[in-house]
Amino acid sequence: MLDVKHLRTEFGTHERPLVAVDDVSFQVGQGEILGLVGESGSGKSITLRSILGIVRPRGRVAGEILWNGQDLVALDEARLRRIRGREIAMIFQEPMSSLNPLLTVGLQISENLVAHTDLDARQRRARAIELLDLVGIPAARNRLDDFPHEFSGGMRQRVMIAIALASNPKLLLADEPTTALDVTIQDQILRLIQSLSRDLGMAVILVTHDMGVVAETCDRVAVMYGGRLCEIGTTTDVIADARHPYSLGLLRSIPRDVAPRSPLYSIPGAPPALNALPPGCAFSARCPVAGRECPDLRPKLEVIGASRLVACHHLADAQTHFGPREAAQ
Amino acid sequence: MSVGTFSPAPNAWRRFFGRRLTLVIGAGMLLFFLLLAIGAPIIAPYDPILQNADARLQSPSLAHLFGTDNFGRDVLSRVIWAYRVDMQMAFFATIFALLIGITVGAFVGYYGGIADVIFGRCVDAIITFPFLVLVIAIVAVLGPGLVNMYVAITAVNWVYYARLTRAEIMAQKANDYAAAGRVLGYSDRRIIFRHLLPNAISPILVYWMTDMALAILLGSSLGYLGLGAQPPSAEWGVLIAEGRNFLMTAWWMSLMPGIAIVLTGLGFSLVGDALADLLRPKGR
Repeated sequence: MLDVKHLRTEFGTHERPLVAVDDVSFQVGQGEILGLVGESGSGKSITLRSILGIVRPRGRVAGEILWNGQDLVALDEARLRRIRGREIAMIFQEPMSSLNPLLTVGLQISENLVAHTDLDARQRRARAIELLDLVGIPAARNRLDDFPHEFSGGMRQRVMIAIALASNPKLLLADEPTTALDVTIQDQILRLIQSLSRDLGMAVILVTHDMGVVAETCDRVAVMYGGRLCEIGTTTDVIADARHPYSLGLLRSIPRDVAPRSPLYSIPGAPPALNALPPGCAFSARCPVAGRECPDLRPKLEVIGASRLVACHHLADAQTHFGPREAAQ
Repeated sequence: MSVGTFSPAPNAWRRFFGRRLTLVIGAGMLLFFLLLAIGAPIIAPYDPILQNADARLQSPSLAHLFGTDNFGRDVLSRVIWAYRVDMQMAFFATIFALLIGITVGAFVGYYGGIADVIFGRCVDAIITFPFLVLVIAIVAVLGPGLVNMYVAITAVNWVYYARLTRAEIMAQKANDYAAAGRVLGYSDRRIIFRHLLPNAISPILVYWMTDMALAILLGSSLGYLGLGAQPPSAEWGVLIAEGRNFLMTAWWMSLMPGIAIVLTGLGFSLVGDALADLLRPKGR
């Protein structure tokens, strides 16, 4: 349904561009939930925003983003606007600031309906109630005329989802929808997204830095680092049997069965700045198994097993380096 | 068990009430002045331009509360009739600047880029001149009169509104709801005017209130200089100018319209202040 091919998004001058997303390709099928994982600055949010073209005009997008056969990269702003919100919707990380504080939630849902449907005022109101109901807001009818500040964080995120769902999008882009929420609410929102995807046949791309969220929610995972894909495959494959040293590091960072007060594992170092990316593997500077060729020679995504792609020169070393702990589990 | 009563900080009450009080007094003053302006023909005891050779330069008395001028015209009636001109001035000298400034500022703030750069240089060019000097220069070119004065003031004043709006829009634009609007497929104009501007408008309205006070000052200054309202029509600046030669003998001719200017300015400032307090986001 969505087929991203060699997506490249850059900012800054043409002479010295900052490449935020580099040669990223993936597909999302109907009703499928794809997780996009990586640290801050790994290009996952920019990838999402590139799909909808909202990095323009400052960012330059190259490659192909095929949406039901139509290349979104080639579309102008006016045509894109007809797809945004109607076929592809997006929700953001901060439910506190993504609602207009001066309009009631009813008006904000209804505004989306005005923009994308032919419903009249009464039908819009009925649909708004239906939507709030759908996202699990109790007493939806009474809350229609409430303002955003009268909702809690989790409820606001639900309202955001209701607005996004207003015109029955086929694809929902969720940019860290649960990062700003506490853990119990986080779980509720993820389950909501999951069930909506199942019931409405809606595809979802879920951006997160939390492997736990991925394991719980996604059908497939793409791991990104420095604007590039490291590994992409089904959630079961990637979680149970990660191959790329970065995915392995991320997984090891999740505390599991550790003794109290023992130090937690973290990947040493910090993600590289966009203007200091090596020509080769972006992760080479922090990689425990990097060889001499890694900073200069870009590893290609190669097929491993049935449906998995991994980009690394030293897969076997990674297995042995991270192996003992995984085996111990 | 001790019984503790919870009482909200008295300070908060006083602050709340204080704010309201300022608003009530300021708005009351403005309302009163507006009534004077509208009801001038009924309220004013005499015809403001009717000359009376028998009652020249009379000091304040029961018959003429504010005295009479050198043509025997009743100063109170002239001050009241002047409310018509001066309240109009407060409005017309600012409203077009407000509308133009908001529109330009909103677009420039939203789109940024090259338009913003050009806008910035234009603003610099205009604000390098002292305000009054530039306005006087434009009026001098266009010729004296109220309408030309409005044009001149608008031509300079819109810049201040545009600057303010630009900054506010840029701040609001950083909020996710602006991006959310884009993602939902709303047009730029819809995002600017329905989502960003209402959230950005309050400091602009507050500035507008104080600006109306300034407009009266500016308008009467120009009237005084003979560049604004023209005699014999009653306008405070004109009245003060007429009394200039009689300051020693008939001080009331200049003082009374002067007081009117001060009180009106005070009314606008009080309302502006109270609005600023009321609209300021509380805590966080």
